[in-house]
Amino acid sequence: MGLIKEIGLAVKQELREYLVRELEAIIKTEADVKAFPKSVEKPVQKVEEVKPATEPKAEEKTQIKPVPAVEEKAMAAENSDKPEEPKEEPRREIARLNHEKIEKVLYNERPDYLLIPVDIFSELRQLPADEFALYVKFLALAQDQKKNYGYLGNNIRKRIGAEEMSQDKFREITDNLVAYGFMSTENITELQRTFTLYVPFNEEYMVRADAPQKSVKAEPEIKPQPKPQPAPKAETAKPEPAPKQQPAQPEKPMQKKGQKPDTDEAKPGRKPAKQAKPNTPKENRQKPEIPGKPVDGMENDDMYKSYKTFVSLEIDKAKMRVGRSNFDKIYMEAVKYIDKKYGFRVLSDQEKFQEYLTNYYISAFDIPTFEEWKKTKA
Amino acid sequence: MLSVKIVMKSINDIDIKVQLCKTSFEWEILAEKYSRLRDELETEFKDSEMPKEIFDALERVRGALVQKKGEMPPQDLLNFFK
Repeated sequence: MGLIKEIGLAVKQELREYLVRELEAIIKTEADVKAFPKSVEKPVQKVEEVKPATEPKAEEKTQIKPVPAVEEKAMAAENSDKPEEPKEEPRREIARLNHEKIEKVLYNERPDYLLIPVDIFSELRQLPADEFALYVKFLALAQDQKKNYGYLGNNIRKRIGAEEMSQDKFREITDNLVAYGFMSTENITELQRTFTLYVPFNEEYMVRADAPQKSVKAEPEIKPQPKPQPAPKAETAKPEPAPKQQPAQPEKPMQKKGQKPDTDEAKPGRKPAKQAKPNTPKENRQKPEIPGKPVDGMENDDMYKSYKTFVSLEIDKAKMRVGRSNFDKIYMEAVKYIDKKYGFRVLSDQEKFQEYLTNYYISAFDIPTFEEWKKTKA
Repeated sequence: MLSVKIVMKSINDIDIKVQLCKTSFEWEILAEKYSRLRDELETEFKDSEMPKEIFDALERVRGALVQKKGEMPPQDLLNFFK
């Protein structure tokens, strides 16, 4: 009897525990359901409606059914995410507009105008606005840097004034230009790409980069080979303010090597570039070299290359020595000095500005001039 | 005949844009604009003296442009030494 009684008590105990567990599970699921947003409540309520009909299996249902609710939510979220991915439009097929070969070219000198032959322009007109704009920007850059190829990265975006364009957009447009046949790109590494822009070849201004560079190399040779003129200390050692000059005049004598003096000089009334060109190199040869300026066509080319490297390193060393903020101040002084001495236009002429800036650094940081440096080497 | 008011407005426009300019690319465009305007005015006043007001304004903008150029990150000389 005692045994039966104990068995009865044990069964009762078990039943009680079972019921308590069940109740706790129900309470828990209800609390979870309340915590969900309204949109998720509906499926859970449906589950509860079903409950009374199958009361004994309430535990199973309450434990299993909320899961689908959560899953549904997750599914809904996934579904809302998924469409975004396919929305990335499959790349539309682009018919090639330009079938000419894209080759690397170097400009002998900067043309005064942007060179776009009419037949090419008729193809260019068919490009979408973004692609057209970017092509023209690249073309202007090619003329500015005197070559139609280079690295395709953030720096180039800045240089062509497209830095506000997102990287993806920029990539897409360049890819489109490749598809249209106006540009070719090459992946150097995963992150680095180079480009070659299609530029209609013009013998007058260009040479092929792959061909033996006769005209480019020959040009310095034609020049009378003056002794490299180092920066005379007296002239440049102290960047003292030069006497005030008329702004438009000073830079004129500085123009040389057929450089385009300034874009604003390319006015409609001006003579075409073709006529103006033959005179410029001759005139330039007569002009005094700028002190400290690397002189082309020097006798001892290797020597001069070493000197350039030396100057570059010295400037870097000086930069570290004086510190960033001081270097910025020196730069500011250099800009002011160049403006006063050589005129305002020089500031916007990249090449000349770099020349004068280097010259200024040579003086400011007491870097030996080429002659001095050569003596120490000899 | 140029209207001084219009010229002054053009100069002041450049001046304001110079203050807002943030990149070298913008600076170059403004410098070009300034040079062009200056050329036009010099041609216009070739035979006569440029009004002091205009001359001063041009000098002011030039100063602002030079200052701005100096404030921008120092020019990278890497290309020069290639």
